[in-house]
Amino acid sequence: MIEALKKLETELRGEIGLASDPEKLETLKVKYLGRKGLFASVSARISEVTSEERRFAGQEMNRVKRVLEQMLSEKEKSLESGKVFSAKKIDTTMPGTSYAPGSLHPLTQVVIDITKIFERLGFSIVDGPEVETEYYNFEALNIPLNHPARDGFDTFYLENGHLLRSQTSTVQIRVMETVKPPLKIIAPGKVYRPDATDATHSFMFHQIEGLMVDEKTSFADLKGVLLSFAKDFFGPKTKLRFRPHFFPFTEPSAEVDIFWETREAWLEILGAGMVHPNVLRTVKIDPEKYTGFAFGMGVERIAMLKYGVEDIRQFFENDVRFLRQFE
Amino acid sequence: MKLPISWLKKYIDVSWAPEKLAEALTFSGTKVECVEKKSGAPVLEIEVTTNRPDCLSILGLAREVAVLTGKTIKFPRIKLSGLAEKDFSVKPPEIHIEDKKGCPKYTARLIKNIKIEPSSTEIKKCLESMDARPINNVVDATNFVLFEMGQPLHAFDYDKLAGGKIIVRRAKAGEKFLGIDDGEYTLDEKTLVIADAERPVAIAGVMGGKLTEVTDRTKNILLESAYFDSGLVRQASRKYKLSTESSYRFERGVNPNNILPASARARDLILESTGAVPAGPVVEKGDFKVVKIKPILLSLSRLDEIMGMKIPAARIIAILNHLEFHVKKAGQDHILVTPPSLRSDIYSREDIIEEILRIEGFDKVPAALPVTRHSETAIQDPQATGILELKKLLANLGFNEIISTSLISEKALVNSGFKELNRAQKITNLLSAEQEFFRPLLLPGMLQSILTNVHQKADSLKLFEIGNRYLEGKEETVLAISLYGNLEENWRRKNAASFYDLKGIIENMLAVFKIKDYQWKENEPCPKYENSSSLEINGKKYGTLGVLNPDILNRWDISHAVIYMELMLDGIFKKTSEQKTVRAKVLPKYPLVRRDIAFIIDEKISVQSLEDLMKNAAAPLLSEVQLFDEYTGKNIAADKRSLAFSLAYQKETGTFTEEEINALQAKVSGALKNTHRVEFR
Repeated sequence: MIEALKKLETELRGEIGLASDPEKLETLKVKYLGRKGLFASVSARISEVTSEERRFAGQEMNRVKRVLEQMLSEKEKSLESGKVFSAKKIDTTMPGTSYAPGSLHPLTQVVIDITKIFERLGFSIVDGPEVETEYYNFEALNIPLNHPARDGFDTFYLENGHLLRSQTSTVQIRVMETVKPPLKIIAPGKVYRPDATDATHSFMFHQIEGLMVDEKTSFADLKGVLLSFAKDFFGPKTKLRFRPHFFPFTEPSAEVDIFWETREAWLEILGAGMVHPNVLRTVKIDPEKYTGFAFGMGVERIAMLKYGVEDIRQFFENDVRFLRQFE
Repeated sequence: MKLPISWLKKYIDVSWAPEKLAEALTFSGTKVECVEKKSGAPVLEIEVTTNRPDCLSILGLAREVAVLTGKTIKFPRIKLSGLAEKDFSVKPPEIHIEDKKGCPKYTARLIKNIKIEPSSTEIKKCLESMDARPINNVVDATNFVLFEMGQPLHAFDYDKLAGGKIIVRRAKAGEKFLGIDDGEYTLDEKTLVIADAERPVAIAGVMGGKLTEVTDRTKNILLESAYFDSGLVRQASRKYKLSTESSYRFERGVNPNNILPASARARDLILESTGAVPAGPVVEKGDFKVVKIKPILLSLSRLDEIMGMKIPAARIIAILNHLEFHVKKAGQDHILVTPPSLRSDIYSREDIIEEILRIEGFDKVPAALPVTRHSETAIQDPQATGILELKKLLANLGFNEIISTSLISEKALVNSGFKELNRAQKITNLLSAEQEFFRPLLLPGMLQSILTNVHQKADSLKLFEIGNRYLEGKEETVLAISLYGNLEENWRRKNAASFYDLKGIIENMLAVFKIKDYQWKENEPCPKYENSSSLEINGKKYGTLGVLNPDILNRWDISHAVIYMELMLDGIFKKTSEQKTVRAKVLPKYPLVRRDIAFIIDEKISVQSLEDLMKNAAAPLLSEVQLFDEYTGKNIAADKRSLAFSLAYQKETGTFTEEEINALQAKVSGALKNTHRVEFR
C-alpha cells in the first residue's frame, strides 16, 4: 500500500503537465482526490497493512495527501495567472503622446558643458553687466585712451556715454574689486563688437572668461588647467599649442591652438596669459605677492566646430527646425 | 607687414626654408599668417602686434631672425661723413617748430641739382615685393628707408616751398590742404601740419601735399626725418580717414634714435642714383630728450616661480644678450636688465619674462595642475548658476530656448507697443538702422522669432529667452516666455494654449526656486495686452503675463494668439545661505473631509474673491478651496457662469460630525448668498 501511495505521487507529477485548462485540472483533481478517487481507494487498503506498519502508513497517507493537494493547488494558481483577460487589443505601434521635449540653445549647451568642466576644477561661475563704462572695459584692463592697442577693441557706444562690453574680461575687474585672492572664476556672457556680420562674424557673440589668482600661480598652471579642460571637452587625445601673442591685460600672452583629432588640424580656440601687474595694481592686489592667469574663448566658434554649424547667423535666427536638433 | 626673404637676405644669412623660418617666427611671437610667392620669390606675411612697433621694419624683423638663427646682422653702412656733408655752399633750410610737444624733433636736409629718374632695378624690386609702387629715385629712396629702418621720411620739392622754409604748427581751423592722393581736406586746429610760409604742405606724419610733391621736374629737394607725437598722428589719421605706411608707424611708436641715420641713409641712396651733387648738412630742431631707460631688477627664483619652470641663469642671460638687452649680475639671485632703446614696450619684470619665455619656447613649459587653497566662503553668484538651472527646467517643460540680438530697430520697438523711445538708449556708432537701440524689452526679439517660424509653417511654438534689457539707465536680466498655437499637439489631444497654461508654468517655476510669497494682480486691458495680470513678489512688481493685443500681432503678421510674459530675474535667485528652509509640519491626526459646492454667478466676479470669501466664512476650519470646474453655455445665462469648488475641512482636535460639516457648509453658502446673487446647483 505504501508503494501504491508513492506511486500516486509520481503518477500525478507526470499527469499534471497535461492539465492545460481549469476543466482538465478539475478532472484530474476528482481523479486523484475525489470521493471515489485513486487516493481514496489506495487509502482504503490500509487494512492490508500490518499493525507495526500502520503508524508509518498513516503518516505516509497524510504526507502524500498534502503533496497531491499542493501540486494541484499550485497548478490551479498558475493557470489563473496565465488567464488572458478579454480586453480589446490596441495598436501599440501608434506614437507615444506627451509634451514635445524642449531644447536648450546650442550656445547654452556649450556654455554649460564648458563651465561644468571648470566647476569641477574649482572655478565659480559669475556674471556681470553688458553695458559697461570706459573704466571697466579699457582703463582697468591696461588699455589706455588713445593707444593703438585700442584698435583691436572697437566698441559700441550708447548716447549716455556708456559702452557695450567688447570682452568678458570686464568681469575679472568687477570680481577682483570685491573678492581678494585666492580666487578662481569662470564668466560666460555676451559681448559686442562693431564688426560687419557675415557667415563667421556677428556683432553680438558670447565669450567665456576664466581667471585664477593666488600666491604662486604660474604659467605652468595656466597650461595645466587649459590642457585639462581641452582633454575633457574635445577628447583625451587633444593636444594644445601655445604661441606668444600680445594682449594689453596679460604678460606673457599667448594664443592657444588645439589639435582636434576629428578635423586633423590646429584650430585657434583661446587667448590666454598671466594677468598684467598693472591690472592687479588697479584692483589693489599686490603683484609682488600674487600672480594670476586669465583666458578667454569664443563660444560661437567652439559651437560651430563642435556641432558643424557653418553660418553663425543661424544661432540668432531661432528657427525651431535648427533649435530642435539640439534636444 | 611683409617680409620678402630676398630683402631680408641683404642683412642676414638665412639658410632655412621659408616655411621653417615662418614657424620659428610664429612660435617666438612674430606670427606669420602665410608664405606668399611674389614672382617666384617667397614673402612672409606677418601680423605685428601693437606692442612691437620695432618689427615694422625689415631690420627689426632681421633682429628677430638673428636671435632665432644665431646669425649676425650686417647693418647697412651709412656714409655719415662724406664730401657732401661738408658742402656748406648749400644754405641750410629755415626750420621753425611752433608746436614743440607735437613735434619734439625735426630734421631737414637739402639736396640740390637732382636728376629725377627711375630707381635702380634692385630698389624697384624691393619696393614691389612690399606691394609699394616705385615712382622715382627720390620718393623710392624715402619709401625704401621707411621699410628698411621703420623711420618714415618725406621729400618736398624745395622750390615749391614758399619762403623756402618749414614751419611745424597746428593748422588753422578751415585751412585747406590738397594731398598727394588728390583729396581735398579741410583741416581743424587740432591737426599738426608741416607748413611753408603760406600754407600747409603736409599733414604731419600722415601724408604730403600735392603742390610740393617731387615730380619729374623737381631740381632740389628737402628731405624730412622727424618725430611726431603718436596721439596727434592717430587723431589726424582717424579724422581724415587716411591710413598710410607713415601714419601706421608713427601711431605705434617710432625709435627716435633712427631719425638721423634714416636721413643719412636716404641721402646715400639718392646720391647713389644721381651721383655726387651738392647735399647740405642736416638741420636739427627740437630738443628731444631720449628718456634713459631704467634697468629692471629681476629675481631669478621669482622668475622660475612665475614661469613654473626652471631655466638656467646662463641660458636666461644668453637669450637676453641676443635680444640686445644688457645684463648685469646683481647678487646671488638677481640680475639687472636694461632693454635696448628700440624696445619701447619693455617696462617691467613681466615684459622680460615674456621675452625669455618666447625665445625659449612656450611649449617647453610643462603643464601642471595648480594647487590652490579654497577661499573660506565660495564665491557664489546665485544668479549666474540659477539662470542655467532655470534654462534646464524650461527646456524640460517643453520650451525651446532662443537667443535674439540685443540691438534692435526703432520699427521693431514701436511695433511691439513700446512708444516712449526716450526711455531707451540709442547706439551712437551704429552699423545699421537695424541695430539702433539696445533693447529696453525682449518682446521684439520674441515676436521676430515667432514670425520666422510661422514663415516656416510652424503652428505651435513654446519659446523662451533669458537675456538683458536696458531701460532708463538700468540693466536688468529678464525671462521672456511665450506660447503660440496649441499647447499640446498629438493624435490624442489638441488643445490651444491659454493664459492659464503660461500662468501655471510660471507658478511651477516659482515653486522650483522656492518662491512662495507672490501675488497676481489683475490689470485693466491696455494697448499691449488684451488680458493680463502682474506678478508681485514681496510687494514688488516683477513682470506682466498676458495675451498680446491683436493690434500688435497684426503689425507682425502673426495670426494666432500669443501669450507672453516678461519676468525680471534680478533678485529671484538666492544664495543657499539665504534660502528659507522648510520646517517639517506634523501631519494632521484626523482626516480631512471634502465637500463640493457649485453655483451660478455673475461672470465678472473673480474666483480669487470668491475663494477669499469662502475661506473667511468657514475659517479656521476650511483649509482648502479649489476650483475644479467652470461651465458656460447651455442652460447658463449669457453673462453668468457656473463654478464648482472642492472644499476641504480640517480639524486638529478630532473628527467632524455630520452636523458640524453641514453647519460649516451652511456658513459658506450663507456668506455667498449674502454677498452675491448666486444660484446653487
